Amino acid sequence: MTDPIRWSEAGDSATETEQMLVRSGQAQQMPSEEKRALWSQIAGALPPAGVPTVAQTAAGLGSGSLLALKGLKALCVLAAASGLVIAGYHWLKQSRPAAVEKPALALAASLAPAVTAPVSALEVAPVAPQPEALSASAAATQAPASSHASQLREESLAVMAARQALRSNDAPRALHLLEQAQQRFKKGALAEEREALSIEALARSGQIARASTRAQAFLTSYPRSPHAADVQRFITK
Amino acid sequence: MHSELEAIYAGHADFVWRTLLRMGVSRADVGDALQDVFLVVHQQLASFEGRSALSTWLFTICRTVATKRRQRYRRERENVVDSSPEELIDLRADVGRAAEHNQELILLETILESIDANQRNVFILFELEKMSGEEISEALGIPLGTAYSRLQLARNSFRQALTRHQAKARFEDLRAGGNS
Repeated sequence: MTDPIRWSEAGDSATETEQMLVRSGQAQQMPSEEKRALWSQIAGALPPAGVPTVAQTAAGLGSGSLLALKGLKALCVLAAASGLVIAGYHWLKQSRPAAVEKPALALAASLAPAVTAPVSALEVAPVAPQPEALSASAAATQAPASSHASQLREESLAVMAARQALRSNDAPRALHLLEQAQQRFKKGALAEEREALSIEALARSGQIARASTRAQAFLTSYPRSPHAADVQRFITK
Repeated sequence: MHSELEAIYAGHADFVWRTLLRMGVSRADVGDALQDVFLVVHQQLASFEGRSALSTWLFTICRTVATKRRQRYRRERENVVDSSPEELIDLRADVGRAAEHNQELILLETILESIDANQRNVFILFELEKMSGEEISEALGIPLGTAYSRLQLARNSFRQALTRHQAKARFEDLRAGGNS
């Protein structure tokens, strides 16, 4: 069987409007700024040249169950959890919201069984860090953390904890953790993420009016935030 | 390996982004989901043997990532709804947000929305993503003949919806003219 000719290539058999519409769908692209930023984050999560791959590290541990990237993600978060910075340092330098969630993904991945499908590498589960999983060979490649990286790591972990509380339907605890983080990291790099989470936590704990007021302020401060659409939902007026 | 991944990213990030949005990943989550897709690509690139087209392979990874995110989203809202795998693939995009009020994309989305989901998915993959019939058959797990017949039905529905829209627009123009 032969494929029919596509409308965008069909000349007379599709109307001008039909061609225009399908071409606009074909041309739909992500904003170039976002595309560049996301690539930086992905590239930052990959193993730098010269650092042993995580597959090798995993083999050294005798687990035999980790595949390269899944293990790499694990390494990043184990570095964060144990106060060390390895390949994940580059990743931790990112202040985009995506970076906040990665440790949870990575941690789950590090404890998941052998990968049989992409699904298992993406499962998210609240689990405790396992610093003992760090191998000696991985530790040997680690560089001392800079104060900035250390601060960001701490802030990232605080946001993760709050997010986890919120996802476990414990909005009051999430709020408490976020308030603590606000005191501790007044000018932190993750202020935007913290505020977006705080708004959701306020709404979920029944403080609808406060959530709405802060949501409006959020959109004024961060009109182009990737959280803007979600935060918008909490505006009640 | 990085340069290979970078090349795939350069050539297919837009496809992955559109596909995730069309699979119901929210605009706020699409960046995270896209990263997940490319991390899986990196992880599995060595085992990708090219038996299917790269876009088909990426599509299946997108589907896995999007499905997981949707399931998680539902669980978080304690509103778990059992859905068949067929229902979980809905390629409508939230173009209103993504296109930032691009009128053509909004019209396209409005029309697509009026088409049966199974037909719509084939239409999107064939007409917008330029996948071949074979690739669509593989990506959606349906026979090739079914893909063709759904495409034909989708095209008919698309034409009818567009005609209705144009008639309505003409009527509103006339009415506006009569009022002025």
